[in-house]
Amino acid sequence: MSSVCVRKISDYEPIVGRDEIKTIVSLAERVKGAKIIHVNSTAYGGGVAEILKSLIPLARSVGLDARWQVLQGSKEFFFTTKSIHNALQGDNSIELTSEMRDVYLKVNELNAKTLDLDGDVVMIHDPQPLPLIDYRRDGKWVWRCHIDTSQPNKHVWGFIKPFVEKYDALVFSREAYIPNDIRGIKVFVRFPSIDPLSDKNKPLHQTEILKILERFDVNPDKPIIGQVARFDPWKNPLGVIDTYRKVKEKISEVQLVLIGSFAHDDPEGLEWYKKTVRYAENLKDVYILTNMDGVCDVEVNGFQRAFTVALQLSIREGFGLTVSEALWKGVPVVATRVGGIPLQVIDGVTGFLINTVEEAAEKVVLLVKRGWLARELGRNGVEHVKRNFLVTKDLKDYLRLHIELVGK
Amino acid sequence: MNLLEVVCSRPVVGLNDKLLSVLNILGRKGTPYRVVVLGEDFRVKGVISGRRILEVLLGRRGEALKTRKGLRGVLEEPISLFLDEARNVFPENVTLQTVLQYMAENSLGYIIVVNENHVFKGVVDEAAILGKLLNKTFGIKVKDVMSYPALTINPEASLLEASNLMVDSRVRRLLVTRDDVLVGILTITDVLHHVLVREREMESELYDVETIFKAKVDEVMNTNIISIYLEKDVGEAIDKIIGNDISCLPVSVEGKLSGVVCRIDLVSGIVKIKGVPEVVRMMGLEAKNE
Repeated sequence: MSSVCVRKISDYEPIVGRDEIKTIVSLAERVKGAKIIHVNSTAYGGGVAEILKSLIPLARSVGLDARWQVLQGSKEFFFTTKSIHNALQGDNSIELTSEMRDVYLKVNELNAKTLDLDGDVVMIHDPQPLPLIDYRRDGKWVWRCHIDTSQPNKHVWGFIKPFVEKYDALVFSREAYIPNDIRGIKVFVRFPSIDPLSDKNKPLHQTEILKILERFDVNPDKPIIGQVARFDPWKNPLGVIDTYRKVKEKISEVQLVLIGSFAHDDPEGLEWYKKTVRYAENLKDVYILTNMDGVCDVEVNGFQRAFTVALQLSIREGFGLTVSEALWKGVPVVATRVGGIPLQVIDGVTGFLINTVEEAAEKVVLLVKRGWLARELGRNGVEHVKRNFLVTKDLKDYLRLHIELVGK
Repeated sequence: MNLLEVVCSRPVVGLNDKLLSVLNILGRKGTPYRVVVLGEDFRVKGVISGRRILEVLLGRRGEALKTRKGLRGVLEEPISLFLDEARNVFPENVTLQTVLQYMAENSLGYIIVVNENHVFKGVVDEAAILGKLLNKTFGIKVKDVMSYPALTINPEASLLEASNLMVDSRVRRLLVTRDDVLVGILTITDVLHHVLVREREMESELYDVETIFKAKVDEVMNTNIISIYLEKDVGEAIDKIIGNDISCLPVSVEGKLSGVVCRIDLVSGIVKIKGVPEVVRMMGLEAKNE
């Protein structure tokens, strides 16, 4: 089991109120002691690990026997699952060879022998561990799909779908992501959320933020724009650099910070990191940082708090939770209209939604030059996240799902 | 602009009310498709829709509870177990422009409005917006905003089949056709209403849903069809929908069914095509714009 820090539900009372905590405790009573096993493919990096790091200790603190299992796989396996991931998000150029299918199934078969899958509820996250359903012994099995599967590559979906159909329930991040040929299975729509007390989002003193910036030679007295996302074509790091070039023409002192992490289930990460570094080669004041440079959760937190404007210029998104992370820190976000981003970025209220690099640059310049506007949008962002996207809502959703399946 | 000018009151229920009370509200014709769930302090706790109730009746929700307590027992359970978390909550001081943009951007049918203490103030939904756009011409044709193809079902099909199709397809209505000719419309509200009426007729203690769902679609569907031609202006569609208190219009061309236009299609479509400022102007609320 992966290590998780210990937070209690009562720690959240100052943020969400006593009433909310009472509701959670009362829902949890219905499934007290239930063994809930979450399975995903990485303990670090990406939104799913982020969510589980918060959810598991919270679920345990209200009396569930929640556990987190991480799938182990080879390079070939993760290359295959990344291809499946990209195909399900709509890349129609991908074809799965029989070798790829074999490695996908074989790794899951091997993991089924070592993982503890004997839960009252087994929650399988994303496509990597999906075939584990074939080794189910007992309990209710749920597939939690965090990606946009609204227009999947038909061939790959045809291979994946028979596994999906064996589950007792499916959970998607948006109604629009539900493939239109799913029939007869319970389907839930559940927005992901952020944990305001995690290392990535907890309050930091200004001095801590300054120390973090100093460590990486980023000037705290000059405007900083940045994106926190994996190095991945869907996250569009090159588009972020193009935007920065245009902003730099208008505001010479601006700095760009790009932060990503190398998750072990993402073999494309290193390649795209290199591509991004090369693309920014001749540019000044660009900082491209990863977990390999020592940028972990607290550092990401510090950088996000130091951003004048956060960017999220993704081409495709599951939900885009880093947007809420930035908003929670009072930073306005300039972002594309994809995935769950328009639910988080209210155009002109918590940030700006854009369609092109030119528009992105224009809005960034506007916000950098007009600090009062950035502050107002930032304040609105904090309130929007507080009303709609905090982990306590997610926990209630999970508890209701468990009650549906195994509740008393 | 003050958002409260379009905020409307809609039925609400308490967090600890029984699920049955929601069926009693949503099964009445002419009521909204969803109700807001409030805590004792009048803060918003969530939302529950007609589809959720239908899923419970079909045994596709509350499975574990149904096994232990039967359907009647599930309907006696508190709403808190079944609601959806409210995720579209806005403070009352945001502008109408913001809300219109957000609803169109995310194809949302409603948002919930709260005051600074998070106390419920009301709802802005498609009906409230369209109600401010009556008797207007937009220069937008129905075909530019309609959804297609419309989901259809045979009038001889069972209510069970129709209900499962609506749940699986995540739609609120089916167009009922015989030999490609439109003969009726079946909505989730019609199904819930039918369940309520039959239960009362049978004076049954236990909910005999299986028997109720054996009914045929043509016994329950609405045959008073109000449709629209696809070349018509969306203003006419709005007048028909609001004037008749219905949620959609089948769209036809040369007598053949070509799609359906719903309230959310109209709101999203008009906002996307005309732009928010123009829609607000047409709503007659621009004078107070700040």
